[in-house]
Amino acid sequence: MRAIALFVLAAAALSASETTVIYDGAISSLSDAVSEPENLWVTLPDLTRTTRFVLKPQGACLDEFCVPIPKSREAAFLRTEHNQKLFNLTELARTLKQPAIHDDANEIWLFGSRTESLMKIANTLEAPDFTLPDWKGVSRSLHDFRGKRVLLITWASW
Amino acid sequence: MSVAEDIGGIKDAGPWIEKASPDYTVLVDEKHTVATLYGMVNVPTAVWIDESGKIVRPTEVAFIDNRYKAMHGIDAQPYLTGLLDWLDKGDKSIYAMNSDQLREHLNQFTPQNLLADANFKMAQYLVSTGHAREAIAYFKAAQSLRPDDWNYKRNAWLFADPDKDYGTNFGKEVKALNGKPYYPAPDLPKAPSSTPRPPE
Repeated sequence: MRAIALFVLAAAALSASETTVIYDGAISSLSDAVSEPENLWVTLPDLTRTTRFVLKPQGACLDEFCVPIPKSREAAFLRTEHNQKLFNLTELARTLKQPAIHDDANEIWLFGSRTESLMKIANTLEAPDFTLPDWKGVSRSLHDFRGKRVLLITWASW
Repeated sequence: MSVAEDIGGIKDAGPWIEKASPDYTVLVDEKHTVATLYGMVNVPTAVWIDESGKIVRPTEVAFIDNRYKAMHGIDAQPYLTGLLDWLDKGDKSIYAMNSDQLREHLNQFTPQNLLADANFKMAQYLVSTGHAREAIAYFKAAQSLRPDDWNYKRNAWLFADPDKDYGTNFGKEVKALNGKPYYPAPDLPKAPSSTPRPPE
């Protein structure tokens, strides 16, 4: 009986510590994150799973793009807890001037768009690609329409 | 390609699409991905994209009929003329912009606009997970950071009582424009006409 009660308690504690992270529009659920009012610390596997950023000797990197982490700022970016290395995702956001919003009540962190990815358009004038469902749930991408002229037009039911 | 800017998603936009049964592609943009990427703040808004995937007309209001002209004052005819000209002539159309003209019209993606967008997306997520009341604070933050965005206002009002929860409604907001246009008019070249116009 006691074992069952303990198990239920442990399960409740675990679910209470789940953190939802929304990054580049993708939703992830993290069980090992440490959430503070201004900082969100995530494990290195979670960093890559939720953001695609990878910690390398040259910094936090997303494909060819790297944010250097000099010795002087290492403490702001990295710490070790219970033998596990944690990465400060909000510090990365501040460095990139990326908005980060924390909803305390539901333990959600939402990271907004990064300027450098949106600004590519000024250089290339290429229409940014996207993938969305039609009303039956079938996904279509803008790049499926290469070779055709596209009038991309919005509307709404409201 | 037509895109529904409905944070209520397929549930809200689907019945309209099903009834219209269009022969072109219609997608549903629950998270406002397209609105963010292209800096769209209202509907109907359009972008022209050529065969190689390059933008040839920037984000602008795009009416194809005069159904709501009495309210917003924009005549659909010049835009429609331009659209048909582009379909006919492609990049040689005078309505297709060159890169210099386009760069004059691109979005700035200011930090304030990106913060507004993030607040709106938090609100959208809360609505989609059944926390519509908790979304109101984030909708309000988005609206105050970017008051010219009608997508923010009108999506928010759908999931609350605009008068009670936001102290406003569509009629009041339009009135508060006080003569300022509801949509900025598209920047179209004058259509070449076969009969010369008298000098102005």
